[in-house]
Amino acid sequence: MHVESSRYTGQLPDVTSLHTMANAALGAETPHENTELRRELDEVRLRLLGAVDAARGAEAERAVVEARVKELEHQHHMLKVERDELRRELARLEAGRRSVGPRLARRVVHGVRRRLSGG
Amino acid sequence: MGERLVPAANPPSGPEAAREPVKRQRIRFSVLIPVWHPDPDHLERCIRSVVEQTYDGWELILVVNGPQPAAVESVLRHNADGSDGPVQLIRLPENRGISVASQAGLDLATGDFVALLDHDDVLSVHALGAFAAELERFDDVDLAYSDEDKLAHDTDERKMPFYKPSFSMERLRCQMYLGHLLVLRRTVVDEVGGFRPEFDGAQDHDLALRVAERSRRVVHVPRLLYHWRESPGSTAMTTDAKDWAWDAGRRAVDEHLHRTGFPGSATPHPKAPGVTVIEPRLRQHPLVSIIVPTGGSRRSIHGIDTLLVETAVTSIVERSSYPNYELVIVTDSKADVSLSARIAAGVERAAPAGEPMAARRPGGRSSRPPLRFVADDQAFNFARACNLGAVRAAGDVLLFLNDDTEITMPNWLERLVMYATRPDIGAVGAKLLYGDGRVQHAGVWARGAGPAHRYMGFSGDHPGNFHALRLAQNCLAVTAACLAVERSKFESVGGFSTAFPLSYNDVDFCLKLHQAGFRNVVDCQTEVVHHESSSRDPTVRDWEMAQLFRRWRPLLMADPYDHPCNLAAGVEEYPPAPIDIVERKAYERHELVLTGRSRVVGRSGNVSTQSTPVAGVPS
Repeated sequence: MHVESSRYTGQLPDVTSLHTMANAALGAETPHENTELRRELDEVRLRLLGAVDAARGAEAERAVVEARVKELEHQHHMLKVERDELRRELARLEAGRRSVGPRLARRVVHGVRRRLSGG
Repeated sequence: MGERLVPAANPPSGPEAAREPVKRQRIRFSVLIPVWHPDPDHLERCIRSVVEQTYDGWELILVVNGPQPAAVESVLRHNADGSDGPVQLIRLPENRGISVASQAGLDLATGDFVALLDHDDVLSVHALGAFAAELERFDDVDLAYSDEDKLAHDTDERKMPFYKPSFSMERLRCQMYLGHLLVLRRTVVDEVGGFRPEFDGAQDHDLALRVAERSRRVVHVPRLLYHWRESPGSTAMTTDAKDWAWDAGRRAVDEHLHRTGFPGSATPHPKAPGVTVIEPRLRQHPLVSIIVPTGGSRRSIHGIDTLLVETAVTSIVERSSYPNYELVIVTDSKADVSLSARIAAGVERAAPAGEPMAARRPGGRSSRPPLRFVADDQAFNFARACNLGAVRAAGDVLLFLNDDTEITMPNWLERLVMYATRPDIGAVGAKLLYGDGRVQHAGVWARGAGPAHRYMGFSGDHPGNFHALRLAQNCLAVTAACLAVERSKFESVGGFSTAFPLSYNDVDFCLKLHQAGFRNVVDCQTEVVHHESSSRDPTVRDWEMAQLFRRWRPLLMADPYDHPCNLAAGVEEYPPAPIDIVERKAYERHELVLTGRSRVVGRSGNVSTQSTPVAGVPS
């Protein structure tokens, strides 16, 4: 049994056949339940369960990371969309500022500041 | 229109507009309204709610069920002028029931999807647009439903919001919880034979069951898109209003069970009209191995010093009617040497006189179950103890049971086996009650801060949200204090992970099953007493929680069987605040958008529409 030591490769071990082998080795009913053989077989089967669990766990952790990567990619995309929109808005404001001239723009800004400060 | 979805107006703009589906007109809905003696004002309001939809890919088919009062006729004439517009009118010479009327409308429908609307109810103006956005995301949706609330008969006050879970076939058997708005793919409705008059009163439940059996994917749109009018005599106002309708529902479920080969039969719930109890009718009785890890703890119960495992085991033997089970007692290193003798003596005392149970003979009636002891001589690890019991067990079905439980229902094993042996169901749990009758467990849900028991501490008689505590239903996980699973499924996911020695091994196990495509079920119609954590330290270790999140973060942040609005309410499933406040909290928290697809930004993952691929169909 090399299952326990094998690293997760994305392919789950053939659980059914391994368990079938273990079941066959164990036999139906063993009269001496605490014999060494029984203990060894128990350990093998526990290790087999552990190996499958490790593979499932690794699969789950990989899925979590992949989901996080997708989420970040989506956020990245959305931020770029928002940035482009803000740039367009900024360009529109710049154009507006130029059209009204620097003095008027300063007066508008001054007025806004005064309102913001409660004056 | 009195819409109070909040924020009231939130059209997509900026970045959100870029995400809006472009193909908005691809899907066409046929909205069916059978009309029979409604309040004219309510009918007018109902029709206007369709006409004023923000989405324009629809046709409205009004089926007039026999002669109507003059005021109703006036409303109908006003809204359907007989032209080829989107509002069509069909007149039936006499009232032949809602199914005949609905079928007449269906025969005329040309849409891709059929939406069912009652003649005095009201659609949210966003309803069809929200459904269209979701249906365009997947090509294989055959059934979709939304959340709903009630409209007071006279005042139009919105109340009793039903924030529904993701699709649960187990719940649909027990209750027509899909309710409104129900949208079905036209071709599938035709395939299953349309509406059936013999189920009038529960014709939608009957149709939903037949469509769900064939559906490739079911979608839940988690928004209040349907406002159900309370009318005198309607089931919206009182659940006692239509006994004949509940009986039709029970018959529909019974027929569904027969059609699908489900080993059960439907009976009405004694306390909850409209809720069906599924009684097991097992054709086979596979050997069940009841695995009880124990350290031989004692506790005072009702003032009597009690060896917990002895109580658990004797209650199983005394009260269980299941004919084919074995007991596997896993003792830890701290257990007293006399423990096994005490348990064996208890089993002998509890078992009525008779032959030992024929362990491998299905259906073999006997009284004394096979009993085996397994010694776990390593440091205590609950997951390992369960796994050790499992590898020693001979049964096809494994049932993990804490030693501080007590069996009260004779057919508890039959009930759990009925679900556990279904090919698409993974773990099955029961409703667990403390010794004083309060709820200890009714399934596990995940609400961001970690898994928690639903309804913990509620009265044992409490119905739960829309009878949730009286039903079988899907949930992310169930506690291993009482958990049944088929051996093959247990082995296929590697059993309990020993990386969780004390806590969350059951949640991790159930999530592995969920990930493998199985549905986990909590059957709240099965009750077991659980004196929780009497036998071990109940403290939760932070590192175990962190490990759980490392494996299952997206699921733990967005439980498909929960709802963002329930979460925002801050209590179990009962919104303590008016609907608009609860919704605003939910929508602010999750940044759900009101048009198009709801979404979550930030670190919490997507909790938007919950789509459930039906077993065997890849998503």
